[in-house]
Amino acid sequence: MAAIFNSLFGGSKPSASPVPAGDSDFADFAGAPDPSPTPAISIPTVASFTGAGALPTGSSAIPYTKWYNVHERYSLSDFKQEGVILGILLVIIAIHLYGTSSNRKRAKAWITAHATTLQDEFALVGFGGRKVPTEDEIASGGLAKTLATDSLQLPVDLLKEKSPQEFSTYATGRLNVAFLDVNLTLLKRYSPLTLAFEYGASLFFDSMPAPVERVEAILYPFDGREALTVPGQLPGAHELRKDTKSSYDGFVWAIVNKETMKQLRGERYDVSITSTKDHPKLPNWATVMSESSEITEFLLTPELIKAVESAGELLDHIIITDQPIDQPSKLDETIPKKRIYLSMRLPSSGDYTTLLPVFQYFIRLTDTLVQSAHFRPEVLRKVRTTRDDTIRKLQKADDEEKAEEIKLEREKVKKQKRDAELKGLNAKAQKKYLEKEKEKEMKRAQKKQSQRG
Amino acid sequence: MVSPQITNLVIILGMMQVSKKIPLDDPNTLNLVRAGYLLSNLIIIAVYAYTHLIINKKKDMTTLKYVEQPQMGSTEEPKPITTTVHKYDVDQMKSLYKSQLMGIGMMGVMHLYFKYTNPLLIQSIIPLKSAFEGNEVKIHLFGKAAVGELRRPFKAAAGFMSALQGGAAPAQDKKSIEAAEKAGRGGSKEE
Repeated sequence: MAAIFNSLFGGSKPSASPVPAGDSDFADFAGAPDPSPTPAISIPTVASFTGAGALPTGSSAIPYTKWYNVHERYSLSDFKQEGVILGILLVIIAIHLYGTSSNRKRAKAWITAHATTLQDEFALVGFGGRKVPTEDEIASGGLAKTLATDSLQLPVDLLKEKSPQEFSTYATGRLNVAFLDVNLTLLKRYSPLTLAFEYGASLFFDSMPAPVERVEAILYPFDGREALTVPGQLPGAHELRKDTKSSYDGFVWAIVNKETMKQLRGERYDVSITSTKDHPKLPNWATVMSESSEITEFLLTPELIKAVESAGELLDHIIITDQPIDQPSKLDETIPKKRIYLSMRLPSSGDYTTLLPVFQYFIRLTDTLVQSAHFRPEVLRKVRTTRDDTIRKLQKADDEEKAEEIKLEREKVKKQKRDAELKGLNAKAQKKYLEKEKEKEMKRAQKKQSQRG
Repeated sequence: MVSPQITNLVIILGMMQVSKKIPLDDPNTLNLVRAGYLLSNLIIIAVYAYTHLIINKKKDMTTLKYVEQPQMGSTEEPKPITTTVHKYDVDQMKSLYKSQLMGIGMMGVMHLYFKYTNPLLIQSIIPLKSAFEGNEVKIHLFGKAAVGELRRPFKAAAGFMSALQGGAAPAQDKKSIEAAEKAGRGGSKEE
């Protein structure tokens, strides 16, 4: 530390004796020739330059020493340390700028690849607010098309940067879909040290997954509750639409990349109530998690298989679910909430053409579900049993807890009664009461023992 | 074939006698022994890395299902594991790397901090031997068929400690898998 300070501030060593005051306390200077006049006198005179009669400064004869000229007191070599620090700082800033900008570029590439699909499907994409379409636009066909052409230039509106590695977008306004959340998670390119540490940690700890770039989309179907989610509907609009009710049967079904299936089953409650079964039509890296083979047969369309094949192993999972991710611990948590999840890793090449079919299929999946995901009661019975079992288990735990509470309450009341009784008695009677109580307890204990023996 | 544990014991006892004869005080000999230790670890790493390479090349995506039995005494239910042969092998390799690094770390502390020299000799033979006796190396490097002893999931090597812990062998029969699979154990918060 001292060395640092020395090099930081110790540059003045070679200069001439700094304060040439005639201080006799300094034995070292006692012998030195006394430079005259002393600055102690000259400075005040110079400082009074506001006054009219300032002395000519040149003639005040301040002795020339290096002490007064910064550029002579220090040389560049005195700032080596600062130079190094500044250099490192510049490198860090450069890395940060490079990392954030390349992350932004990647996110932008993603949204430009997917914006058309999103805008084809949804009335509102991103955070820019909805542009009210004019009548001509609607008449000229395809409101989505007009929107797509004019707002593709501003992906800033479409994509929000939550942090330098997280980007998200949002879409709403579609038949059968309440809204869609998309989250992009990129590498921490701006912090290579963190990145290296994460990679290292993932080798040793199973709980720390290696950092990957992926896009996760969660689609929330209306499930017949348009009236609740969409504000400001005309009265009677709901009744009018009764024939096209957007609800479907609740179940859990998933196509999962086998690499992640072990982890997925451990992390998510909803897929852990399914059984895993390979399907001959799927590529060998993917598998199906389903609650019933009939549901699988219905959902595994040739179109989906083709999309999955085209995405390749970048696809992590597609999950259609109505169950929570965390294991329900309360009865409220067992209420089914329908969601569809899609998770894909991003290709390092930035070419999204192979991934688009899955994404498209994922958005349109609700239509298929609403249209025909109404199964035979035999199929649904199996599905419902799993849920009812959980509910029953939770109900039982709940009842037990309640019984315990009642028991505690009863005991409390009993004790209060006893205390009140005891208070009302005089000393002798109190003693008698306590003795009686003790006897009673002893008898009870004996009885218990004899029963056990 | 004699069980590896017995041969290990024989080697340990033998090496203990041999290491008495070797003049480990002599710096030259000591350096030689150190070099031997490093060499043995390098060989192990190389063997593991090569095995890993083969595993990744094969990339056997066959689904592997089994039920992990809980340890004796714990109230946990049996845990169903659904994975692939490839993933299982990679996980096994990871645990091998881990245990090797742990061994080196332990040895480093023992040797550099406590200045023990004797274990160097034994530690350069035993891990090398067990590396070649590992299930993954046997299957992929030596091309043995994954049947019998080598059938995945591997049984924990029967030993003194495992008898105490009482971890039952992972079950693979259809009945217990089906029972455990739909139990909905995932996503519990307390883990």
